[in-house]
Amino acid sequence: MFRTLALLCTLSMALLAPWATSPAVAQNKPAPATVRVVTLPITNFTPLLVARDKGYFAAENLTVTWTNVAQGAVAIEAVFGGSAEVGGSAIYETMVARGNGLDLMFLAAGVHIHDTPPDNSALLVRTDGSVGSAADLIGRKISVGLINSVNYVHMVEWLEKRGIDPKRVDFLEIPFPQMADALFQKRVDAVWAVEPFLTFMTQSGKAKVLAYPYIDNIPGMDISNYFAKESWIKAHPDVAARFKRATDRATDDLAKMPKAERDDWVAKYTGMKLDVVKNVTLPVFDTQYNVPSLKANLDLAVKYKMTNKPFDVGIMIFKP
Amino acid sequence: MSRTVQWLKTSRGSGVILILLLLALWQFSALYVMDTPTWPPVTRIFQAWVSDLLDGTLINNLVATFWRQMLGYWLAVVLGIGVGLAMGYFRVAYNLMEPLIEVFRPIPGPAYLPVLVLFVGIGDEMKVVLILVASLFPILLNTYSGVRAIDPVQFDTARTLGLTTLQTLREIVLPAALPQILTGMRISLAISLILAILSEMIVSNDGLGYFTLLAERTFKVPDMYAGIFTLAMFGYALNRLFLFGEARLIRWHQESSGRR
Repeated sequence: MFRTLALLCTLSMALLAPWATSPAVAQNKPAPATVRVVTLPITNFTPLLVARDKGYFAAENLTVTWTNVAQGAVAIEAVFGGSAEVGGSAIYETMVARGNGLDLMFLAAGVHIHDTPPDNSALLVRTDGSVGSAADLIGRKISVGLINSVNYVHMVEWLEKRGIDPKRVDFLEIPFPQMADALFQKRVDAVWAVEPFLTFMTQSGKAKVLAYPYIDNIPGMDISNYFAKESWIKAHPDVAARFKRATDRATDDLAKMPKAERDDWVAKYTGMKLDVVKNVTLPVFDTQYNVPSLKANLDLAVKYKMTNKPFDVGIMIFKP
Repeated sequence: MSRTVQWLKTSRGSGVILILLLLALWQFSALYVMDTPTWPPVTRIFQAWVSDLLDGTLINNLVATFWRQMLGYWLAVVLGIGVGLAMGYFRVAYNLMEPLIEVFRPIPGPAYLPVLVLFVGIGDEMKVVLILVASLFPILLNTYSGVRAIDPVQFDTARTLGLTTLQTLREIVLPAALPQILTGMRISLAISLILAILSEMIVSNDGLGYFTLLAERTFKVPDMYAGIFTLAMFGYALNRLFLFGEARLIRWHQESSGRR
């Protein structure tokens, strides 16, 4: 019996030895986790591809997949409904959603606009047209994309700052890809175009930049980011931190790498031809939030009644 | 009667010639009239179409759209025929279901999208449910109408012959209502394709709708039109296939109504 007991002890020690002798190895790798992301297939979210292909997600033991959506609002619905853990959308929409009762938080920063021109979006008018200033827009038709979007709010603010009543301007909803035709066929008098359509239109010689409303209103403002439900972040703070770490590494890489390399990543993520990407103005990749710009955008959302009451935007920023 | 008129009456070639003429007009206008990158010549679109076909892009996206559409569509067929038969044959079922159907019927399919994203998610399940919901009502209502239009004498005959309810439904109701049912199915076939494409444009990583929208967004305009052209061909092929099947199933009805 004694010999049997001794044999059992020896066997147990042999089986348990790997775990006993290398606790450091066992603790280094975090538990595997899956993060589903739902996002717009635009330049701003290129860090997802960089983080995946450079192994940053794998280093955090994360399996990250993403699904494309046509609008930021659909991304918010998907995250709120539980079919994705993380969403990629405009900062403004996420703040409006928070202000209207959805418990969303900013998980990781994404991109901001430029401090000075040129920017990756602009208000364009026809080169041969009669619109040469803000005042010329009175009684005219313009399109800034969707009404009540971040573009719309900033356009209204831009007009008001120049003493123009926005009600005297006729806003039409036209999708970004169709803005060129609408402008050149004189169905509208001005459009707020985004890249790559901005570059195509100006390079055609038929359109010129009237203004960069974002830069005029809030230079260098944050424009898009990754968000998640606050309840999910509280339930999975470790996974949230790991996702943020990986995307921040990728965002930082994109910010610092040579233009040619960055263009290549953007082309791969968005599906745009590389020749097109080379000529467009990309937003600025940044891992840090421009908090004053967040507050300024929230003030605009409250001013134009997109959300009911102001709140401390700092509570939305995830700090691991 | 002149030979031309005779040919126009008997041949489908005139329709093909009309399409070719319109394409020729498009080519001419793109090259010499319209100066915009969003109206490329037909030849450039054809080049993009061939290229996308050969590298498998169009085939892969078409397959993704096809299986979603078919799953949603056939679920709608089973549910629509089942509920339609029940409502048409059993008064109790009609009284129970009619108010609910009349409330939901006028809601356009795309209006369900936000609700479905919230409760069903963003995956293929959402797309299939959307297709099912949008395709259901034409089939259901046509089935119901088909059953109600059956000559009551046929039911009396069934009772006289001692047929059970199931036998009556199988031997009399279903065959008699089949022409109407197939009409509803044909309408829903087009609706199912539209909703499949729409759902892929809103949230997807593949499918013809996703491919076309992505091409538009990345300014690959010839590819965008190639996607639209593929969609048109696919829809046409589905319709022809349906008509072929319908002709086999209700040949007796088409002959008696003079369509053959």
